[in-house]
Amino acid sequence: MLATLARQLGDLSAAEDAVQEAFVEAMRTWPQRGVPDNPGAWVTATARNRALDRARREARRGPKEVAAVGAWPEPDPTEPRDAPGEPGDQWGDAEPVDDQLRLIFTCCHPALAPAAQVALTLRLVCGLQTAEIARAFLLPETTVAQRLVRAKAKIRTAAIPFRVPPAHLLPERLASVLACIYLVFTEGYASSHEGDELVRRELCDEAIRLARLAVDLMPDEPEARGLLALLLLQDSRRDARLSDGGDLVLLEDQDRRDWDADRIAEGTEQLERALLRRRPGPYQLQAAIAGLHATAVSWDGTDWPQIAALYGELARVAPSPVVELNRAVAVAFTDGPAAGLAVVDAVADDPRLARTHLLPATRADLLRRLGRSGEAADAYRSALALARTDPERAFLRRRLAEVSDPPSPGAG
Amino acid sequence: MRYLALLGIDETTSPKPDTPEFRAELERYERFHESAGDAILGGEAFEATSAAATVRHGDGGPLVTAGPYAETTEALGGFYVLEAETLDDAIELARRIPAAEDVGATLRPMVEWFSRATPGKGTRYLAAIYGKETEGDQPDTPGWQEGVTAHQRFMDAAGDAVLAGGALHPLATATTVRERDGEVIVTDGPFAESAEVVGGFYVLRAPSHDEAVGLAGRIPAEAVELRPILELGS
Repeated sequence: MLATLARQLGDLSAAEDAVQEAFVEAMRTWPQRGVPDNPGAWVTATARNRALDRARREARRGPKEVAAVGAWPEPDPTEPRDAPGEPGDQWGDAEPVDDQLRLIFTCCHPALAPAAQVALTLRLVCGLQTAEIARAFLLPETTVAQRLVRAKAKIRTAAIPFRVPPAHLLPERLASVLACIYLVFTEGYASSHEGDELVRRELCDEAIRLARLAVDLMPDEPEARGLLALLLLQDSRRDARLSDGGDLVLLEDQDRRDWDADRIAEGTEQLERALLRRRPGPYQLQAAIAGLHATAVSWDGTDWPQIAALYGELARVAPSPVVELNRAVAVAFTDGPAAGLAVVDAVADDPRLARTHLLPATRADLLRRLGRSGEAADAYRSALALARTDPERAFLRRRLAEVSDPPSPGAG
Repeated sequence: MRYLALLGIDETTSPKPDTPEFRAELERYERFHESAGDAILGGEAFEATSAAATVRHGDGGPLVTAGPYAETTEALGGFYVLEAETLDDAIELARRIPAAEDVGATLRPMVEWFSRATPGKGTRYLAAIYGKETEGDQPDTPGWQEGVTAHQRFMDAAGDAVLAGGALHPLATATTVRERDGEVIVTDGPFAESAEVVGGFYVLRAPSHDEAVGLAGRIPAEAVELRPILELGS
């Protein structure tokens, strides 16, 4: 509804205002006059009339006042929000697909900072309240509100268009949309801060709903479907990756019976449908890797050569030192820990790894497997100094204790 | 919409005037001019930052220092004023500016822009207005209106010395465009992060450097960076 109006009015803020006014009008008049036959159409029509009234009023005030009034207001907390459910619920029945797409592409425009894209998408596409977004990201509500105000001001002032990008721009803009959705998911799944687990779960669910929406809107884009598959497959392990005490449980040690079989089945099916298009990309490759893990009977029974090859392909299409670290692990299980260590050492000087615990933690594990306990302990200590979450630190401390006082060196 | 494209270049690697590389670079810019056509409303290239002077307001009159306002590796090499319907259209223009393949081109939506032909002789300068952003840098505030009045007074006094000028929306609306291996990279914010930003600019003409400094000292601003304009002939 918001998206349809925004297209008709060419102004997101006016549309947001008008929809709010229409709902207020509905709450006032429906109890007396009864609910109209088509409530969604009634609200859209009312909102459009309100917006036109407003535009006429503003036209008499001169351009400066119009610009001032056009400032995006904070959403009214009483604004109705549909219960979470299948994507599309929040749009009403008659929301044209194109308008939803326009809204997503506008919220995820690369001229907006990624954090602003995420906040705008959660607010305008998912319908989360500012307070809910603030809670999910452990930020003061005023910070999120300010972020939203600034993003909306930039959309208006810099004339970021409310449209689906033309075909020649679509690949790079789609990448921006998918990256934003993935950012919502990773914030919930592997957040850099310790948050309320329930709140983070909501973020994962919102990301999956957004990915479904992207697939519904762009069924011919294999990377959108690849992202949905990736999120479903990663999410299938959500319950298994933390112990009852909140400790991080590595994939290797997870109880595979805790994995969500429905998620795995759906993720695998989505991945197969994406791969049929024969246009692989980073999300499909990551989903394929996640799929091999999800369908392996055990850690030892995992198809490591295939995973190593997929990481190699991923490193080719989307080079990143983190991908190389993951490839190192797969290589270690294919050709032995020494071969894996060689891959790690090749990226050891990459400045992008300087501030994460990933490099020393991966090295430490390979050294541990090689039985080089002293070096492993040093690497675990380096990793501990850089780890950012309690579960990560607890895990590294356990490993450090193991290699510092090894009862059976080289086990595993 | 009008956008100011601020061109970021790395002076340590950019070609020097009177070299074949410089002429090749000029040809690339000319191709951009041909393809962009009427979308370019104005634009200038500057002499190197070594020719820059910065004028700050002091208690006993303007304080002049040699060099640019901020010593950074990313130098302001020139600007365009572009007419485009939306930011996407402006990005499509900006990505074809050769500087987009260098440090990058920052697009700033403009509040207003004027350019006029006035009689007179002398050297042309860009006077870039620098300073920390304040509430008065937000259009349609009382502070902004005060600024408009002060700038009007400056222009009335400067007369024919003012050839062009532009006022910008706040830095939060800036977008930087870079072209790398045929792919466009669009990011929020300016090409060089700094607390002090360009808030607007004039193109001035003065018979001498001293007179240019005198004019710059009367611009209502925290600081003004004076950059001699590179006269490319024709």
